[in-house]
Amino acid sequence: MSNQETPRQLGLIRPFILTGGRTTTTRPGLRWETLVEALADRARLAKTSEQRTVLSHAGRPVSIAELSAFMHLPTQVVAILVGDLLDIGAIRIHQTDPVEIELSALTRMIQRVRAL
Amino acid sequence: MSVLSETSNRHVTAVKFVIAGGFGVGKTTFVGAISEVEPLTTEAAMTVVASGVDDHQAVAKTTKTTTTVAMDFGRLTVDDSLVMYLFGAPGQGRFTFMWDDLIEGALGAVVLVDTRRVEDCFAAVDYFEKKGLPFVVGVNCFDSAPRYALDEVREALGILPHVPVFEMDARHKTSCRDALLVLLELLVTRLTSKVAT
Repeated sequence: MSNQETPRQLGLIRPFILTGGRTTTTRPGLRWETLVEALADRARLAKTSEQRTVLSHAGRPVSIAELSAFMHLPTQVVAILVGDLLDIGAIRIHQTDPVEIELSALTRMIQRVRAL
Repeated sequence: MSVLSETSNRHVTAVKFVIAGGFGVGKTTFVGAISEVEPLTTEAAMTVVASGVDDHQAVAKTTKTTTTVAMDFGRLTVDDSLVMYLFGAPGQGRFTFMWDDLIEGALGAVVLVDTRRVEDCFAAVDYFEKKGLPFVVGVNCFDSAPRYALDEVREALGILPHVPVFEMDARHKTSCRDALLVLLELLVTRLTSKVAT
């Protein structure tokens, strides 16, 4: 690894090898709930098995947190993988600006939760 | 799962809520009551930097350790363009390092209080108030717990009068549902009062 910090716990060495030592993504807006979705017919662009795994889970919109759970990787590592996949044009993200949550969205949530 | 031959152009909005509280208060139970899937577990990694002095050479030295915190979370699909995520988050002060990521973009929180260990929520309540994250307080009634008046809980936590405080039982799905509804209705009130002014 380069001069990036080295994780002390053995369990974390592999995830940060996947990211080439990067520990944070430079992309804004990749939150735990951010949904990613594989772009049709772009699967061949994936270069690593981890990238292919992300794409295999993202046939329908899936959150970074769910990818973290399925792949047993920290959310930060998943965010870096997602950033790489965005760079090569293999996925899209569904950007949500929470400030724009409207009354209609809250109403729909209330209806859905009432129905539980 | 295979990649669809056509990617939908439809945008799906994802919203996040936090369920905070001390260990064993019922966060995962709460998440499970709302979630359409069995709660999943995500992990957040954090590097903690500690400074010290190397005894032999009297040289300032930093050590970095990376630790992870696991959080249970669930998902509730509202319709084909809106999904809710609920994350269970430890309430104690020592976990504050990951709260910035946790609450970034969150719409609000339910704080679950165990009256046997009210102090487990202090850090979470302080943090949410400081960050301006809307929250409601559910006082979880364990069988063996002392029964406090809600006013006493309110005072113990030092929360403002307009914050809803109510009794609940995280073991019952309807109680969890009702708690989440209190939060959602609080958000509606805030939104509509903003528009009115």
